[in-house]
Amino acid sequence: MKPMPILMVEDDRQDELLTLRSLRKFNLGNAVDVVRDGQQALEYLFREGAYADREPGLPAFVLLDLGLPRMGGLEVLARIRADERTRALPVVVFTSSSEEEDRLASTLGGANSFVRKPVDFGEFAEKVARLGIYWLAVNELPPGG
Amino acid sequence: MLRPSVRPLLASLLPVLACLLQWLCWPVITPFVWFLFYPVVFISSWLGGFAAGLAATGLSVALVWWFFLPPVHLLLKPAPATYLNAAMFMGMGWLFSHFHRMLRDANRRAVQAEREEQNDRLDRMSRMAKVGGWEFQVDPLLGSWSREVARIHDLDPDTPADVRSGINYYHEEDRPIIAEAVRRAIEEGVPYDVELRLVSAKGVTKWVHTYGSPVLAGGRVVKVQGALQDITERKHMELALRESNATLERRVAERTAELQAANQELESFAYAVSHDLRAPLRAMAGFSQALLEDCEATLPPEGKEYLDHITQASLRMAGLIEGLLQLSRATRCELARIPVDLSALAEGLLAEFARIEPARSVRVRIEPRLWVQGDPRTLESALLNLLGNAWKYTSKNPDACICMDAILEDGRRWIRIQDNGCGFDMAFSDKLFKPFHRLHRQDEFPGLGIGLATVQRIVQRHGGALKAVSAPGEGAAFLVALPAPDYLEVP
Repeated sequence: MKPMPILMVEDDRQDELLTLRSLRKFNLGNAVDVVRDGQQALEYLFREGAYADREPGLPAFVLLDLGLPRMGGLEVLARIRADERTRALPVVVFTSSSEEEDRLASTLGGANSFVRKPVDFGEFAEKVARLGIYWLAVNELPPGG
Repeated sequence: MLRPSVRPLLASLLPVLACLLQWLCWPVITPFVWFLFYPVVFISSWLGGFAAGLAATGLSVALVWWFFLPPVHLLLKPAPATYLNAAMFMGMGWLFSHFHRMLRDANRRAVQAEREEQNDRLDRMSRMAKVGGWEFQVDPLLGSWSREVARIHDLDPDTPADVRSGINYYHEEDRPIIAEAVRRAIEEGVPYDVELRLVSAKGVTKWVHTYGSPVLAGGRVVKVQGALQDITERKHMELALRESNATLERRVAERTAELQAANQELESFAYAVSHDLRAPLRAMAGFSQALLEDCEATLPPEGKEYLDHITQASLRMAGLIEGLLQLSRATRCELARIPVDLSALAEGLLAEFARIEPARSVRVRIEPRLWVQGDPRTLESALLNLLGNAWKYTSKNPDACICMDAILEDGRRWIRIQDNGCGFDMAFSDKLFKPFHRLHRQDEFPGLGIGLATVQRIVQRHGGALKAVSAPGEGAAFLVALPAPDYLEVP
């Protein structure tokens, strides 16, 4: 069976590259699908619009930035939790923000984790790797994901 | 009390009583025929006035002449002594009457003078207070008012009251109010007390306070009496005050809106900083590192050093951003007002410092139970900065000591955080609490210059005070005054 992909919702090209680089270093073997805004994220998950022909199935987890163009991360999270198909999907909020409101809103909105992106690349790479290992190898997903 | 018209008549008839009494007691009184009549005439003139006195005198003479002077019951008396006696009596009667009249007049004049004096005093008081009295009788409709009421209407003070036209002096918008009030007072006996506008005879609009209270007799209102006061000055002040209050409130609302807008802006700014300023830094630091890792073999040593500088600068800027956010958070966040044990917070923070740097040995003395009233989280952040400084600036002292206690100074309680670190020169103390100002070089003690600005912001928002005392090489002491707690928790 092909490993489930990871969905990364990230509008910052550099953050995307750094994250991909960190994940690649740990050879996790999962594909990483990248979308650039909230709208695309929902289309991907619900197989609509440009993603209507995507292979069926949900990603292993969603790496969700908060400051996204058009539809913000918190709203994406709310849509994911509101839909029957995706309400159990693990969502990790991965953001530059250190604001308490963001942390609170994400947790209350049903995020499974809130992880701050550190500026220091060493820390950053370590966090990404830990995230990948935890959600792909340690955590066990509910059935029907 | 007899009616005035009956009194002189009865007084004039008193000699008849005297005559009767003298007739009955004649054997005892003989031969003093005038004996009882002198006092009677005295009393008659006293009670009945001049005319009654004279009438009583005449009557007395007639009665004595007829009944007591021999030969009795005859009018003609030949004895000359008789004429003399009668003349003397009449003279006395006239004197009594005259003096009583003089006495009475003097008395009346005195009373009159007293009354005028009183009226005058009352008028002076009325004038000063601009208040006058009035009353009107319902049937027939007749009124009177004091001079001040006329003056308030800008009429001659002696102008008599006119109930019917009086109401027309009220401002036409207020006239229905007073008309209704007067109607209810007369018909239903309901008192009134109103403040209305009045247009005087000279066309001046004045504010007056008038009250009327109905007087009942036999179950119906017979008259209404009350008072009228000119309250124009007070009213104008009231209106001016209300106006200025309204202006003030409007201004406060405007300022509040401006402040809210500014706050809103600050908040979105902070949010943007938090989100967007960090991403490019991460890219700089991240790709420098990636370059180091991936292309290490082809990079000359200078290249590696430069990349290292880029990384260091990015991290430093990330620190600055973090500090700015901390400072703005200290300004933005809402503050709780509950009792906080600063001693417990300090113990926790210092224990944490010791855990992170186990190699350091620092003596810590903290006075227990230093309670203040405030927001626990921001106060902890303030303490974190103050104790963090103490911890940092004692790092070169092998016998480091940090102590926190309470002292009394300038009549208030200060919480003092003292260290024996490197201290600073008080000449630069004005820069101490300014953001991004530092009193030490990075190579001496690294730092951002935001911690104390944050502390000051937090203390200010608690309505407290903050000051510092130090000298180079002699350690530093920071004194914080904060509100006392509402109640003390008993441990």
